Amino acid sequence: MDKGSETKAHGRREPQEDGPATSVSRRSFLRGVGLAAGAAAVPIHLPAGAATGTEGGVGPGPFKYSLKINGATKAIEAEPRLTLLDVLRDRLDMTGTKRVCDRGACGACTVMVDGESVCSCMLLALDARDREIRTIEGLARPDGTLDAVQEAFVEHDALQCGFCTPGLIVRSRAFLNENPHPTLEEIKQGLSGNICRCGTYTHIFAAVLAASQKEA
Amino acid sequence: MATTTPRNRVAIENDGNRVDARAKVTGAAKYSYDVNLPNMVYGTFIRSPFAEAKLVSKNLEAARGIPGVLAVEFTGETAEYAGQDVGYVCAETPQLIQDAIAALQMKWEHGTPTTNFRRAAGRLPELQAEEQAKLDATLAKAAHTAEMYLETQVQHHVSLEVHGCVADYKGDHAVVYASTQGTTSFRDGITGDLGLDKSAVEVRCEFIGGGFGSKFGPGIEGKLACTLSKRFNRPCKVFLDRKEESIDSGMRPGSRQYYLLAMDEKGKILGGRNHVWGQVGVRPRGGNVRVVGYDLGDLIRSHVDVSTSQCPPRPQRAPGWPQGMFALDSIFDEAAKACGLDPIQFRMINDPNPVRREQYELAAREIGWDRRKADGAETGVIRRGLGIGAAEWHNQGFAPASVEIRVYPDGRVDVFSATQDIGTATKTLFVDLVANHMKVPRELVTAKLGSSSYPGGPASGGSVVARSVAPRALHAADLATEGILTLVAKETGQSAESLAVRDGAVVKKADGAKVMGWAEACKLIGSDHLSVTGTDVEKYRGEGNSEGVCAAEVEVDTETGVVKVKKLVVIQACGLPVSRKASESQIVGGAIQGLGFALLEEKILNEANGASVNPNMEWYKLPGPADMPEIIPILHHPEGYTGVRSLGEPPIIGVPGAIANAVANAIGARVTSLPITPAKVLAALQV
Amino acid sequence: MKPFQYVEVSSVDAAIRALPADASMEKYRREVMLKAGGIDLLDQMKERMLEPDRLVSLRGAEAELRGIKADGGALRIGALTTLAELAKNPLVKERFPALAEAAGSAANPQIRNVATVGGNLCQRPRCWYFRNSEFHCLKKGGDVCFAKEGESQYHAVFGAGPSYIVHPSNLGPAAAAVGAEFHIRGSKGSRVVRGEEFFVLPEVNVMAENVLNADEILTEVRIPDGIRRSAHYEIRDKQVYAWPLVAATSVLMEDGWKVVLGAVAPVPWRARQTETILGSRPITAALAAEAAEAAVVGAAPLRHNQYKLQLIKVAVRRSLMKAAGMEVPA
Repeated sequence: MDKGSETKAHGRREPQEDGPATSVSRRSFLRGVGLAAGAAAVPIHLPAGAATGTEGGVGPGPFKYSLKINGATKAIEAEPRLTLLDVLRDRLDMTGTKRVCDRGACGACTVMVDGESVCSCMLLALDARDREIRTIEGLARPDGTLDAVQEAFVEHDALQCGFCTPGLIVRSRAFLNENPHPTLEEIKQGLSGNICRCGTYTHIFAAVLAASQKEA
Repeated sequence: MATTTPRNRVAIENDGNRVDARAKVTGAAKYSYDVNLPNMVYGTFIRSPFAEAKLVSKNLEAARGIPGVLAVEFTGETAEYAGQDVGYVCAETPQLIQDAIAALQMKWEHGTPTTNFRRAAGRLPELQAEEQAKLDATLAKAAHTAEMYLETQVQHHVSLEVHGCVADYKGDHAVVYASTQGTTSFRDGITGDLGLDKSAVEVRCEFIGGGFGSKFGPGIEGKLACTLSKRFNRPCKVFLDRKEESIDSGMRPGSRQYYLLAMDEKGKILGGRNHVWGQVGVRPRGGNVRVVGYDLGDLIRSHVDVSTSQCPPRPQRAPGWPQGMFALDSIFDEAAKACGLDPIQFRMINDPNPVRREQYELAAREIGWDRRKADGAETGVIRRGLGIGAAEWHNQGFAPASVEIRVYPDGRVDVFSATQDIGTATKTLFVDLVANHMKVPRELVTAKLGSSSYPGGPASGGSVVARSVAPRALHAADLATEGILTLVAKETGQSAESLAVRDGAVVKKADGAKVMGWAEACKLIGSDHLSVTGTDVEKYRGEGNSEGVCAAEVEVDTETGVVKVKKLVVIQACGLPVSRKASESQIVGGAIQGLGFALLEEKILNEANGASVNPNMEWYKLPGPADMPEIIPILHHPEGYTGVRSLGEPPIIGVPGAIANAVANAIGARVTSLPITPAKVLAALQV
Repeated sequence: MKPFQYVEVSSVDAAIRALPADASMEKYRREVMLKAGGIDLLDQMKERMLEPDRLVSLRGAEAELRGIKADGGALRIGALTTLAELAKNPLVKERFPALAEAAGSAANPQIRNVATVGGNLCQRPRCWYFRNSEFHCLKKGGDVCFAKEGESQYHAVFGAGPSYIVHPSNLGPAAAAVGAEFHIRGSKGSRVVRGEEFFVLPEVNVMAENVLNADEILTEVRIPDGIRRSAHYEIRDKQVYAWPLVAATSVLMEDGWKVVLGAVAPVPWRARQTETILGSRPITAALAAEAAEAAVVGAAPLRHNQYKLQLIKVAVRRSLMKAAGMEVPA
């Protein structure tokens, strides 16, 4: 399968066969370079000693991989172009994480990857392989009691419409993990990647301060 | 420094939390954008990139040929504004709808759009002879005058949840999950597209990520989703992306405003002239401004809308008001200066409103107005200034609404209304009102809102919801209580009038002796439920309007022109703030939007082709955490103000004027157009 | 985004082999592109400004490319080091505080956790004509720079023409100020480019902002020894997550003060006349003010960005005073 026709595969896909609609016809999926149908190992790495570097890899059609989200392993089959946000919301129905700007400018899609806050809209889902992903759905304790940050948001009315709230809570949780005793100024800077249109910021500051004091 | 007054803490006997807070902080709350149904398809619009545009070529076959693309249709080939829809696409995945649009490889041409508002607005129109004579007479009597042109920008809503819906057509009925401020008006707008009667269509909106006035009616998104769902017999999701949201979901019109005020030697306004040009979209409507009831004497008023090549305006939080009050409060301060008066003194002379007169004094105390120096008296690089602005909201009439209460045999109480909670804590309002009025524990009461199948409730606009539903909710609560007491009376052989519910139990009014517990009483309902509907407004109608005053303190770096707001005191008259926390949140939220309007936000069009240069959250600048001043919301209780009063919109109104006035006080020069950017401050300082 | 193939490599050599040899930048952007943090890349791909058929991710090459090491008095910063790592690194904070400050004030915390030093230095402009698909501008192969006669609030006052973008990198001025070594490796071998030489004016090449060829990778930035004082100063309207209106990085090296401006030109802009006035002298308020005045000589503002001239003077003066340990407004 030479590179030329693979790169043109997108424009020349064959019509759908019978069966449930998928985004790529089964024939071109199976024809994909480097894909072995049903292979357990994802051939995403360049084969050692590859001469020209046009071999190997996955896509453009869907391929299989897994993500570890809130402690559970989820099997994914998706094109490389899907972001982590796309996979969470549209494939796994984990809609707690919100899409707002889709450009990393507002923080609404913030999740933790290996404990660090990232905008899930600016991360390819496959880039989150082999990492620990934590979303808003995974913050409360197993018995259902709320994390201190979540509780503080409730107590201090740090939300109105609530759409920015998951991103802010995940970011605040990660922020307090890094900086457990912040000043108000540090909180403002620390949350600077998150936008709220309803205007809850001052209540959020109070909530984060309160959560930090509770955990002190 | 005193912060909040003790009366700030009055609320309906509880400092409870929002009832839906838990759902929101856990990610469990399902917004319409979150709804994913089996077998769902996706739709989106094909849009013109330019204004005054014509489609020159397209590759329909390439787009339609992509496997998984179900439909590509054009409804037109020209557009008046950038972003206007000319067709639509339907496909199996969100990625494929974008692939289809890319495959179209559209080529467009454009003519000359109208993008230079000032040029299109033109000169101040001549007055007719009679009016000119009146103005001349006023000026002849005047001891002082103030005259100014002021401008405000086009702002837009930037709801975090974009516009759209998931339509689920099922042949003989349909359920639509809409991001809407009006489940009923949304429903009424799609029956045609669905080919169904209203009674067969349910529109649901349990949670919505902001609307701020832009989400009434189905919009083209709602209609498209319904059309496609019906055509393909599958659920269809149509939601805008952020760029579309920025250029075609409405805006707050811009304005250019001329003021000439004439005062007598005591500073009383005799009259003058005001002309407003509204910067609107492609049709000349929607651009007038609103102002508070200052006494402006014989002021001659006029207004004209100026079309520019962009999307039509939609109401945005207090439509017309922030623009109007920025200008009027600015000219007021200039007029005060011309008369040698302090801005608050000047308002005491020219503002007859007794509630605001009280609020000016409160604002002065809270902000420390006695620290205020004369305009431009501050020295040093960083200069402080204080300014004031005014607001009001007329609580006239009631939107139609009825509220159903169901009491169940296990003691739970559900309250139903088609109205929605757009972040304004409406659910909490219902729960608090009903629980408090029926004297049952809050935990027993659930508010069920946001479905057009529930008893009719107002669209979330005009700040009418809370004050329209409250009397009916209380009426329904009365009826529900009566219903239970009647059952208990029958069971125990007493008269219903001799009984009451207190602290979750039925007791004898006379001595408070317990007759039976609430749960036991409810068992008497039998196997079904007790249902009552409250429709009355008279018994629990509130009184009073929603005046407000904002005092702002700013710091201006006179070398860079950067303005930082240090403190906002936002006083809001209200009757009964049902949930204290949520009421304060409304005030703070409005204040922050006012700050954005004053300093940061502006929709900017490229002049030549009418495309927006900042249809995103990077260059359309919203206030962020580090832009926050100290914000002090004050729930103010004027004498005789009772019941639930409007609270959602008024808090934004006084803020931009207060900030502009504070900046003018700090630097001794006035920036007359919003947003107040560093460039404009430097120009005013002549640096 | 357009669908693409994706492959990961575990070494720089493998990455270079994956790139098209002797290719034009156009071919690179069409066929095979490198992905580091991916922040700028994904932004452009979502707008469909870039539609590469294949992405080669450097994720597997982190061992080679990520991290900060001392090399005697010099500092070696791997190109895959994140901005967050750079901002909090004790070596950087000690030896080159301006660089740590610049890294720490870029973008927002979430972006800084992913965005890399290499990506920050090589990112394409944020110009709103460049970033919006409605405008087929010079830098995208069109024949007009829309900013020149258009909305020019955030555009260049120096060095511009035919394109009027400003270089968006927060780290660029710091790197230029100290003459940092940009270590580059490509199919024909390695080379080192120093400081300002890494960046390219539009009059030289309008289609790129730096000297990298299509088959080259920036592997490391080496900060030299001899930084005596440094400070970074930004002027912003919106306090966070906004591009600075004007920025200045001032560094006292062994051979004198270096003052480099950000957000004023298509490359980090050396304020040479300012440096001449300063020499190696200790900073006083008066000297800083005098030197700052010289920073705007030769400026050519556009219709909407005249205000930048005042901001340049203030940023230069305050960065010098800050470097000297004097207090300046935040």
